[in-house]
Amino acid sequence: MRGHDRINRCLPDELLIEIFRRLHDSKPSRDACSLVCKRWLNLERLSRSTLHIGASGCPDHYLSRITRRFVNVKTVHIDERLPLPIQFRRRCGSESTSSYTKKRRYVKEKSGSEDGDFEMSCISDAMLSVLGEGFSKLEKLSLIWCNNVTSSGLASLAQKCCLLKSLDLQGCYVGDPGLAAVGQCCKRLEDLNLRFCEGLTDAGVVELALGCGKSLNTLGVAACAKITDISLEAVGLHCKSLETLSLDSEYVSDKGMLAVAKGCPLLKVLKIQCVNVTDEALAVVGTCCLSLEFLALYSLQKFTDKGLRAIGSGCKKLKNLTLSDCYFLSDKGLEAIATGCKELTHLEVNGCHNIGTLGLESIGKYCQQLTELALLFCQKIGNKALLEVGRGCNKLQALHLVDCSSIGDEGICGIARGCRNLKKLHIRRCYEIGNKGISAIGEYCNSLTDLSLRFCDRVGDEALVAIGQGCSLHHLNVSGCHQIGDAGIIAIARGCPQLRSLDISVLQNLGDMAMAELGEGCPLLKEILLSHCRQITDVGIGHLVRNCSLLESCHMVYCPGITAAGVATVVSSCTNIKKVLVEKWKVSERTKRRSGSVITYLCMEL
Amino acid sequence: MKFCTVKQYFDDENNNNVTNGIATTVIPLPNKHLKIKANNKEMEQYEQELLRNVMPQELTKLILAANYLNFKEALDFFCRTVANAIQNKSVDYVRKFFGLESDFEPGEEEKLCKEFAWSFEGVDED
Repeated sequence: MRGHDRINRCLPDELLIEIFRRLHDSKPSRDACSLVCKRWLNLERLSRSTLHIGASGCPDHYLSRITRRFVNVKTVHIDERLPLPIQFRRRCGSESTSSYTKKRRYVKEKSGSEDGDFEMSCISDAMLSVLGEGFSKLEKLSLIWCNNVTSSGLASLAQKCCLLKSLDLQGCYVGDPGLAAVGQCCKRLEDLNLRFCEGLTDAGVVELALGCGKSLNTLGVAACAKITDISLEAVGLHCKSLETLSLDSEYVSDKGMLAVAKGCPLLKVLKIQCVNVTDEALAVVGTCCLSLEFLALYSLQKFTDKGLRAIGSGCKKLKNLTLSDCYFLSDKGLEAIATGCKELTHLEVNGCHNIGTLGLESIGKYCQQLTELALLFCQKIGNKALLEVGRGCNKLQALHLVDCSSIGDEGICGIARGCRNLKKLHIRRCYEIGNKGISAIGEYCNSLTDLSLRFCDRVGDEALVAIGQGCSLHHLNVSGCHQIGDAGIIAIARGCPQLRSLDISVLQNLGDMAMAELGEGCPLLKEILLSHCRQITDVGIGHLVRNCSLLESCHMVYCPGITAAGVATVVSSCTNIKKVLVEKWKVSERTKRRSGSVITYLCMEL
Repeated sequence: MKFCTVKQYFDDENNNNVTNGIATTVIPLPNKHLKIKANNKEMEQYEQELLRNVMPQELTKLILAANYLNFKEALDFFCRTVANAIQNKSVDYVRKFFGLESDFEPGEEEKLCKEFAWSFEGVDED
């Protein structure tokens, strides 16, 4: 259709680039735009700023062409775990693919690479150097499991990319000289993340702290056996602007932690999973880190209420607290936090078996700013706790409950009546919660958009009727709630026209009627999961997709009522479909051909 | 303060950059924008409506107008609307949307496709 050009003739280059700038960094979108015509190809390449490269097997000349094409790239993610693109996998045949993936996992676990029928070339030092030369404006770099990269590669990149702001090294055997070079050349480095970097020792980190101390803002160290307290002492000495520290290590003790707490007064975020750190360190955090806003303590066996008390008395700005698997923390500790940190907005208690109702009651009494509460595996927390939270925390927007066997309808009713601003409610395996509690939510929490009730077998249709009447849901998950049948889902279909995603997996009583109503009532539906629904057939699915034309994802494994015809209907009716999970034998040749390049087909071998 | 160019426009009679029709859509925007600024959902709906009623050709003219009037918010809004319309769509869809034809040599497009394949979408975190 010549002469119908609606854009190329009117817009100058800079305005076309403005449009490209607003395309999210989604590769398919950018690639599609690049291939529209020559002008777009040239302009898009100037505006592309992020590249994701699964460099394994990527021939060198492709990589250098990429650097020449995309000159304004600022962010590069190189992830060796990513599989080969589909066209190359097909060429090699499925056998090589499985041995390839086996090799992937093997290399990931350490040791050198194996010889095989398929050549594997991870990104090399030379290629990293080429990247550095091509992308001189590079600001963010991630090297994930790049086994062939060593210090010299990183050093030569560092020398060429002095604007580097963020570096993420995971599973790379880079040695100290590489990190030292970054310290010398990249004076604007703000973020550093080191994970499984077994080649790095304290020497490298010390050099980096010396070089980038003034700019370093965020540091993460996990599973690096040779990084010890010495590194942390250097951080405490040189990195005065440090705001975020994330530590997951058995090789760090109070000594290092104390050095950071005393040396970095601007610390805002602290996440510790260090089995050798004790109350002593927390006490100093409580005294010195007065700007602390985010604290997460994981699997700390040596922490007791004493440590929490110190935090409660000193860190008055604390907003976000996560306590996970800290066995010795009890109600008294949580009470100290509640009375001391009145600005608390987010609280997560996960598997801390000595924290019970009393602790949570204090939170309800004192933390009026609470917006998000997560209680996971808290068998000792009972209804009274939620009643108190309902009374005191009127700003609550999100509540997560997993495996809290002592919480029942009474507690949920308390939340419903008190927390009218609730937007998100996720409950999993809380067997005491039933229709009464959820109906109350439907009655009072009219802002609710995200509801998930998984394996709560006392919840039935009655609850969903109330929800349908009171809440305009966007997301609903009722998988495993066996009592729910057509009546409940129909109520949702009629009451929630804004529904975007629905999970009704494992619901044995659900049939085609519900699917038909969903098709009528929820045209914005993007995602549906109906695996293990024995009663849904091709008829139901057909009704659903006739109207839900925006559907992008459909999971329907173990549905004996759905046949190849049903699968074909889904693929042909939904122009936006991107993912279909179904048994391989249900996909006919014709359906395979029709799916085209836009759909991502996931066929399980069952 | 947003309309430094507007005064100039009304003074300048021989102006082809902004036709009357476009001006009536662009100029009321600041008021609407201020009202809707707080509420993102309404903005989404307004965007959807605009997209349905305004053909791609008009949308590009709107972009030109906003650019000429130096109206940054409107420019951002219209560019985003176009970007959202072609987000995650295939090459053919985008071509049809704007009435464009491919000017690549035969085989050149396939070659480019292969090159692009070497970079990937992000995967799930570790």
